[in-house]
Amino acid sequence: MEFLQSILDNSQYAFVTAFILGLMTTLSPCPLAVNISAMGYISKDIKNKKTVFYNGLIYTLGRAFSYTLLAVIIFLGADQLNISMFLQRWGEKILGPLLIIIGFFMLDVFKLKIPSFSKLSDKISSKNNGTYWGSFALGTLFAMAFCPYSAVLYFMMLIPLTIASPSGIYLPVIYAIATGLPVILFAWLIAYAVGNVGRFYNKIKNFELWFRRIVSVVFIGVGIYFLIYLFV
Amino acid sequence: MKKLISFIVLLALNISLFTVNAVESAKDDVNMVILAPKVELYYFHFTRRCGTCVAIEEETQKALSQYFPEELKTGIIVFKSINIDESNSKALVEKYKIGGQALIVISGSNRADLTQQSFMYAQSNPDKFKQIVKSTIDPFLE
Repeated sequence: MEFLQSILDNSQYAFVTAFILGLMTTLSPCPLAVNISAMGYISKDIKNKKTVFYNGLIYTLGRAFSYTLLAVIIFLGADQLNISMFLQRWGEKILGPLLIIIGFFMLDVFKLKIPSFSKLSDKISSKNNGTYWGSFALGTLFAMAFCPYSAVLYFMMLIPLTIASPSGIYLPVIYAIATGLPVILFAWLIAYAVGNVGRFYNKIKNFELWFRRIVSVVFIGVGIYFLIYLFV
Repeated sequence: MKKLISFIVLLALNISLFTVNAVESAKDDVNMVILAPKVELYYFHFTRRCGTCVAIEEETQKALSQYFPEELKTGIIVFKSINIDESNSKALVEKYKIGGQALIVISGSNRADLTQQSFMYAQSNPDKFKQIVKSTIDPFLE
């Protein structure tokens, strides 16, 4: 952290600052836990390694979408104080229940018959290639899960830098790439560096089903961790 | 009769206690002149606080008692930690236009925002943070 701070102190370029802020965010507790859940989510398609890698990128794209959208809304004149206050107060608190709900959806515990909802749950749990949407949605939601520390980095440091001039609007994307970096690295490792896990596991018939269950349990576990961390 | 005696005894006791208190508080008044605060520090936080958030309050407190012990004692400098989740904080949040966690220094119409620096350094480099607090307050006291 101190090393990152010294870079930040001496940074001449806005994009370097945005990148370092992103790295500092990703190392703080909430984003770390959130990214670990995301790694679990994207690796449930472990049989198809390319998909895992693309999902890592799309998840980061989802984060970039949220961060940029927020910056644009504030740039266009929305009340920054209110938005910041709202997300600082609720971002983190929503996260626990959200993770638990996604976990249960992935376990197929909820079988909703309402068409639009089952479509949504299909997208989230998605046995097929619709996972890309799921990863994107996960990225957009998880980006909003501000912790006390990451909220200050985003609202007090990145936003002023971003909205100082219209050309600064690319900065949240750089910030998002840095916050999603652990997931991208993990996805890349799975896709290109790890040996043929897929082929090996193909032999185990029910592997994917079980893997999905494990991931669901990870989600529920991290969700419970957040609930305890916040409310006990 | 017994009741009357005990009543008188209690009354006498009360009066004597009261006079002692009054004398002591008068003494305090002589020794300490309470001044209107010249510099006010407000630290706004939520009920749940991260490690850095806790460190900010502690280190600000330390900086004040280290560099400005007299001013703190006489009330020239006031430090208040305010929980934004509590409803009675609303007036201050609106008055100072707070958008979440913040550490601000107010002196008359002047205002310094130390939120960024506090989150950067309070935990990782407390000495640097304390210096920042000091150098922010110094000009306000001149």
